[in-house]
Amino acid sequence: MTKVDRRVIWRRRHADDYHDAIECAVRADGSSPAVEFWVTLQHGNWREDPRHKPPRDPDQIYDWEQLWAKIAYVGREGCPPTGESVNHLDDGIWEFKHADRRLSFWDTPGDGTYVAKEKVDRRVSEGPENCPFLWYPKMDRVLRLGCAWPKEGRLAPPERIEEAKAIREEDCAHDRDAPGTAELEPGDA
Amino acid sequence: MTETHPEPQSLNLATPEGGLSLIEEYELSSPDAAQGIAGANLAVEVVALLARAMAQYEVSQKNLCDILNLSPGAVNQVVNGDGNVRVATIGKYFRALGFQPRLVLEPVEAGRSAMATRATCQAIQNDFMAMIYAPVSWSEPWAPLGFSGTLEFRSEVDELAPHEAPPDWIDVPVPFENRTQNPVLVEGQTG
Repeated sequence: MTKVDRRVIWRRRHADDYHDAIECAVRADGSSPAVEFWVTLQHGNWREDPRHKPPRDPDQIYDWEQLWAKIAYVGREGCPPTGESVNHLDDGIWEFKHADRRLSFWDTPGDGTYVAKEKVDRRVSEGPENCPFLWYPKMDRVLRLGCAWPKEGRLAPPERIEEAKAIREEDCAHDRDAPGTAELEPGDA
Repeated sequence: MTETHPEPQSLNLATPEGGLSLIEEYELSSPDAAQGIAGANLAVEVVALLARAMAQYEVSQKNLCDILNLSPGAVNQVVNGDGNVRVATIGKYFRALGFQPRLVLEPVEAGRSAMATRATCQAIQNDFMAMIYAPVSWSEPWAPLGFSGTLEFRSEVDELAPHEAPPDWIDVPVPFENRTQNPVLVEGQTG
């Protein structure tokens, strides 16, 4: 595999921002479900939404801004704005939540590895500083966005969780095969 | 007759020149876009601060319902909503938690300076002064933050009382460029 350019959703702007970058993960074939979700939602044209009102759904455009603001908050603070903004799904796969939109994510140091972060049971030192949600773990410096889906039931569809795990493996493989390309220098996120 | 479908939108997967993030591209695309993002950011700040205050002072949603005399559904909609609620509603909720919310304007374009009302500046200054000069329970060297000497801290908010600055208080002007950057602190650095 060759070096991949991931689209960056959010990047560090201040020295004390928690994360370096929040990026769209890239599959082995070079596709990026997160970019597709992001761009189509931004234009009100995300067709997986069962309530999509073509051609440009104003609800999707509004939710896109709100979802971005939540993601950016996590980038800056290292923890979600509210307890309802994120949810742990399985094996270190988390989801951002806004209205009926769900977007999977995970963390990585950016070197092709990851340690699956689960919910923290007890506050020892795992959580980010000043995070009011004791269950939220201290994530690594890069967050990667996987696949998205519309909320239709109480639980996230298992096939979507599996899809997110597969994307994580394929995405991390890009970093392992191109060592050094994921090393983020200050201002180079 | 064969129906023709428009070509699917082509997606540029490469990072653009200049390294802008997707959201920075969007913000720069039009005033409307920048304003929309600013609105969403403020809304998220509101709910985040609400959640933080509730967690810090251990106020549950049920407690908040009781204080505000509102239904659990109504409170849940605000606490776990998108923050896009009436300004007066924000005021009520924070007051129920023991706060008067105030606004500070952070400049994001050239030629603007931070702005706040006099009362807001006073509130920040009062809290800062109280933190420094209120009764002491412990102290530590302050060198890591660029000061020499020792500052002392209050132990509990309830102990606060108005304090005047001591006669040797020196108002140190901070160059503007330093205000807009986050200082990189060097261990052992003293001012």
